[in-house]
Amino acid sequence: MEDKLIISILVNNCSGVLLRIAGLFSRRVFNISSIAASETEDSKFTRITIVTVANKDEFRQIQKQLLKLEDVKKVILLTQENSTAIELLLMKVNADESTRPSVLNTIVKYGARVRDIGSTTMTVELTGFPLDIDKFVADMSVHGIAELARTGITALERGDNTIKLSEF
Amino acid sequence: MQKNGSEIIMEVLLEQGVDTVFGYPGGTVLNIYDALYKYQDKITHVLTSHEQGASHAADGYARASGKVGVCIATSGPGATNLVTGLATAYMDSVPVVAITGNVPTSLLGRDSFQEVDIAGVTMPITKHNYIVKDVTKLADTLREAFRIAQSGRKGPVLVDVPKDVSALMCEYEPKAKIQPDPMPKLRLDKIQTAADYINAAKRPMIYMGGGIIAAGAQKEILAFAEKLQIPVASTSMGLGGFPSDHTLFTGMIGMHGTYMSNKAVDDSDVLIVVGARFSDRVAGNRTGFAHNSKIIHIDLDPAELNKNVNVDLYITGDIKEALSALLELTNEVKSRPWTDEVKAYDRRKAMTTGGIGVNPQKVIETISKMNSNDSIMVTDVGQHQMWTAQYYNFRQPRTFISSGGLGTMGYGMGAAIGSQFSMPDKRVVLITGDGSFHMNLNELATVQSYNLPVVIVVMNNSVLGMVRQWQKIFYGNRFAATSPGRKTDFVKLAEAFGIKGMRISSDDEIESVLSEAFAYGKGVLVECVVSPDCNVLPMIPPGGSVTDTVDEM
Ligand SMILES: Cc1ncc(C[n+]2csc(CCOP(=O)(O)OP(=O)(O)O)c2C)c(N)n1
Ligand SMILES: [Mg+2]
Repeated sequence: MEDKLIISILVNNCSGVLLRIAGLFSRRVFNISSIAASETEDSKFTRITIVTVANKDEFRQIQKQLLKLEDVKKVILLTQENSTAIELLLMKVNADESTRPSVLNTIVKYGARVRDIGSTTMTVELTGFPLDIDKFVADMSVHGIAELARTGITALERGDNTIKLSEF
Repeated sequence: MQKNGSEIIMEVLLEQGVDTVFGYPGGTVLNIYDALYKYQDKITHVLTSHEQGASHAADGYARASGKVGVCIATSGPGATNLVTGLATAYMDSVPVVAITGNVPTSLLGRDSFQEVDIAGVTMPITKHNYIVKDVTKLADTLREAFRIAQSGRKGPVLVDVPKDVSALMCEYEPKAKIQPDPMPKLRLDKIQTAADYINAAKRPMIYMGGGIIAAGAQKEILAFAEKLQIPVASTSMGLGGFPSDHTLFTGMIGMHGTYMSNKAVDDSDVLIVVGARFSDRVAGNRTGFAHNSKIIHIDLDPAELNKNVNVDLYITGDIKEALSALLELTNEVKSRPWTDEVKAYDRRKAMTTGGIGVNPQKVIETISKMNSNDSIMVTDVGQHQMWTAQYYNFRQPRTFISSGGLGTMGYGMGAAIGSQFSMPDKRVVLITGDGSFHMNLNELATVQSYNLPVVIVVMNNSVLGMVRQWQKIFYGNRFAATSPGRKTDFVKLAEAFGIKGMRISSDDEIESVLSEAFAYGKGVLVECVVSPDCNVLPMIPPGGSVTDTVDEM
């Protein structure tokens, strides 16, 4: 069965490493739905979170191919159940004087935050589960969305375990 | 002690035991060449005609010797000319270190003259690559390159050195030769399970690949097959890893494999796959491959597990060690009805070339007869390559040097040069085709300049035979661009390069011309005039199984 998988990868923090990872996905014909990367608590390492659609066997193949890259240290599979997986949305939504109250209502309902107010738009931020963000975007679309940007999922395992402690 | 970047490169090469490098100079490697000049009594630099030749030479050097091959090229076009050679080495897991110059760091990223992001270009065709922007990291980076090239599943690594880095001075501290990473530990429980499968098997079969040669496990595989009386099929990459004239050997497996191998694999109940990767040229039909069989797969690369064909048991680790452990745990079998059954199959069934005129099979068999066990056969890519694989009697590992995974036409000349440099006392024979030879025949100049005693046999069927064969089978004899009608006189061509040229125009000249060529002792080219209508048979069409075998055309 094909599933949305969250793959968390610990890599050396060096130039070109994102290209190596993305290149491997593309040439091994694995898709990338989203990718998020940044330095970790230890500046020697970068953590990359990739969301892909694959079954478990395909994941094992991706994992093993990734582990062959010199810069890759750990590759773990996170699930919606065993991890906190959230995403950040910034969205510029149309909001003039007349629609502003109803836009604000939706913002409050989702616990989003207003980051900027222009003359005809408002820029809002929402951090949360991707599904909630989807719903928020859908609800807001009645007002007209001028533009939006999402970071893609970033995730950490629940409990005390860390990627450094995991086996692969 | 203080040294400049280029001298540091020389020192690290010496640390790693390198005494021969293949390359071509240019603006951004001038510093490196200046150091090569200074170190010329310790490191031989072989100047090829083209950087592609240098890359194949480094590859051939590595395949023939098991050591790391090294090639050097200048930035831009020099570096891009290495690409095919690196991809070839990558596909066949050959340890190569390529060193390229690049524009000075201050000019990087500005589309400077002869600037190419070669690290970006070669990312998917190297195990790893580096751009060294800091001379203090140069020595360790190069050492790392040698470690990576030789560790685990071997392969090429590229180190890109901007021109300023190869000139800057820095403290050099000698270090011992780098050791490859330790092999992953064998799971003995899995070895036991494998042994249980094998001990219970009625119709066991071995399908071995190039991993046997990479691991140096030829003795172990022979002992194992003999103890258990298991028939052995080999991929083209594995040829030489098992004696071709052994009664348990069933020949090559796959698209142009023997009926004996393909049928035996299909009929087996336990298939032991060692150092092979179920490529589409072997397991055309991935789901139907060895469908009656429990498959045990032994390989060094964990990522080969279930990559192409799903297996029942996977053992990761050193193949040599795994086979020794299996040998201990398996019970001797004196004889097997199954093995007798397989031996009774006709190994030569449908193996015929057809055509009129000089018979390629006879040419290869004569070459086989005239050579000793340690002679090295290098090939290019096409029908002549498959004829060599089918009809030459390989008896030792590292004696069949051929581009398997990438199928690189033009590989042969460079690879033969590299093989000869690594094995100066062994006979090196290149068996090439007219098409492949036309790609990199410029390297005849290298054979001549270095006085290499390579015997070059051009199977001139005047066509791009292998592609033409597909056009015969799958494209209704529409011979688009496979009959170039070239008028090249190969004998005169060789002579123009200062090499002796000879020709075989009929079967009765095969013996006499070849024995003269082999006795000549210097570089010599022998053209064999072969019919354009010869084929490589049998053939399993792409995606097919043994039951789809084409056995006549
Ligand atoms: C660089 C490269 N280009 C194209 C091909 C496709 N190809 C495979 S075999 C072949 C024909 C080879 O001709 P030749 O060297 O004369 O060998 P023959 O099959 O005639 O023995 C071609 C064009 C290839 N393998 N490599
Ligand atoms: Mg030809």
